[in-house]
Amino acid sequence: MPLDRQRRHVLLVVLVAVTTLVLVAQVGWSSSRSPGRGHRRRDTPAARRALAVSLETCARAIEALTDADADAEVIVLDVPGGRTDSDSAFLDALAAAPPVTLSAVRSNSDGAPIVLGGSDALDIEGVRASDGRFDPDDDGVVRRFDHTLDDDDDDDDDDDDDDDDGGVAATGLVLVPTLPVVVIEQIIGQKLPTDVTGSEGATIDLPGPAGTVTEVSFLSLVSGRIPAEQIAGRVVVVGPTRENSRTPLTQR
Amino acid sequence: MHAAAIDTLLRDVPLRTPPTGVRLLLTLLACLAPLLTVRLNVFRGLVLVFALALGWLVLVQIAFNLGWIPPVVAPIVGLAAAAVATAA
Repeated sequence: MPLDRQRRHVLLVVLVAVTTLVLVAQVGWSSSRSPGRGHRRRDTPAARRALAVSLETCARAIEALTDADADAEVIVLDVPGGRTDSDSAFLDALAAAPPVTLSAVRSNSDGAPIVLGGSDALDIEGVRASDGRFDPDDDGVVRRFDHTLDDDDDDDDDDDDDDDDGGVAATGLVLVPTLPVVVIEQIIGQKLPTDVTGSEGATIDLPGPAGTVTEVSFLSLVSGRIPAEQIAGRVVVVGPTRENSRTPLTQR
Repeated sequence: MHAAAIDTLLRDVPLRTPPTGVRLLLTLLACLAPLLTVRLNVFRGLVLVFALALGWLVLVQIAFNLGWIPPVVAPIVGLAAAAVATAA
């Protein structure tokens, strides 16, 4: 075989090998980004416990947001509840409030999402449960969200929590849309199609690092120190300002 | 993060990722691009590869501004690796 032809043959083989390697790596990476591929949720039990706020205090927060002058468009409570939560003042506040989205990261053995205020809260018109979890990529960074998370594989790091709570899991949340989807459904008053977030999830368009979105302290809210015009007509998310998950803009 | 996700949906998901097939095709083209340098000497070939990589990054930025997120790492790695293979 002439040298030139032999060289070309080697070049072709090397190029094919390189191309195959890169494409296989990209396919593998794409597959790992697809929803339901076994990522571990990052809502650790310790983080959830740190969010514990009494129902009475939450009721006061809802009342502040329901005030005639304030009147938020949708109230989002990103405060996971316990299975025994029940408080009449909280339920009364929910009943008088504009649409409320309650976040759940666990479900009962019967599949019902565990939310603040318990199952009684979900019987109130205008109150809906949502899946408050995100599905991070393999590197632990949250870049996307889905319409629904289609499986439950977060129990690897939640075993201790399961023991404490008597075997709760998140399997029932497969039927519950994620928090942003429920909020939009409450705003527009109709269901969103399941493909609204695309086949691989919708990429979150982060406005900037933590603190870019207007934040007010919970204490200021419940003590009525937030001007009504700062709330009126807005979607208000009541929850932790320090994220449990990393985003592409999180400082390492 | 929830606020950002809600805002993303309110704005009809402004950032989109091209379908897997399109991403793979772009990477394949990047891997094959160094074939253009086969008839050039090493220096010219190197300049062409750098120009292609730079051009791709500019295109990626333009696409991002238009709301698309094309692949970056895979095509650049493929281009560089294929360029090295071609030069060798």
